[in-house]
Amino acid sequence: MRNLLARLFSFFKKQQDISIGVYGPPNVGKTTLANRISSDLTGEELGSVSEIPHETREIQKKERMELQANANTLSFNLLDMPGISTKVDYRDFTEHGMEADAAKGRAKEATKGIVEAIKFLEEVDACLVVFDATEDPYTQVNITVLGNLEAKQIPIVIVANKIDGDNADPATIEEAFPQHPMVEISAKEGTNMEQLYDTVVHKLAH
Amino acid sequence: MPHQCMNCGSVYPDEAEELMHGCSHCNSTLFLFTKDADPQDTDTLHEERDAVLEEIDAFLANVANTEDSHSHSIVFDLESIKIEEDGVYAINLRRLLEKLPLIVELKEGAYHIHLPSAFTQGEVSRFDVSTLEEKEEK
Repeated sequence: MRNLLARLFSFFKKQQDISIGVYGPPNVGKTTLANRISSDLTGEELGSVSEIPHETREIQKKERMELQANANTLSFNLLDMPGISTKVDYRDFTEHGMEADAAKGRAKEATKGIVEAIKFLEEVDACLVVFDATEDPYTQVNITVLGNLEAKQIPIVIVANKIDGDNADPATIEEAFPQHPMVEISAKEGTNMEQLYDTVVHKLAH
Repeated sequence: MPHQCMNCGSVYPDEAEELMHGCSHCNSTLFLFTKDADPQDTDTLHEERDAVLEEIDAFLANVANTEDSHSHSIVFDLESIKIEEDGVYAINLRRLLEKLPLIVELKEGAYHIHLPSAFTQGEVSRFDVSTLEEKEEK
């Protein structure tokens, strides 16, 4: 009896503790997606969005969200991660009209954010890896991050975002990483969000 | 046993006059007492070097022949983050993803090793690039 109670307790604890990280390069729409999920499920947004790269420089967390699909329920915490890149250059920010000193400060924070996002891979139970469907998926960041998640055996759902874009080509992403489930969405327009929720619950709820 | 001039590298035998009066090429009076090279040792070194070169060639040929050769890279870098100039950072993702201490190259050949990250993972998230630069400026 005690054993059964312990197993039930650990089951619910595990269910409540699931952390889903939103990973990907800068400007692929991670925060737009996190905001969409958060407002769909709680009515509140998570972070600010900008055209200037590295807008999210600290991990943003929304706790205790719940998804339901068929008979399954998934309780989780959503973690919106800073964008991962191999180079941070303050000139990318001054191009958008930012003063040099402020841009250099932003570059430092963005670098720190990348370190935090990578080290937090140890803490997440699953990942939504976001791609910009209008860009080439074969980049060093995508290949390195996905390879590392696979090595750590962290469940992955690939999100092909910005399918509302003119040159969107989600099929290339599927072709590049066929080993993971992929959902084509537009976080901005809210397209195919139900399909994403079904895929996440199917992949993670047991 | 030969003697080698420490300035220009000229070699003189034992009891050569130059050892007393200075090198005939550069007049330096500093000489290094060197050991005769054993021809057998030299042969072994050459064989080992050739074997290593063959191994590297075979590895490179193998990588070039695979379909996904674009995903392979040979990394000899040490640093996780390189501060190229104020506000410009190059990030070595492969190195950062390994469970190794963070190493920041502040300038060419000058490294800062973030020791807390070598011992406790929780400390890594507190890593602050700006504090490293301030330390360097002091």
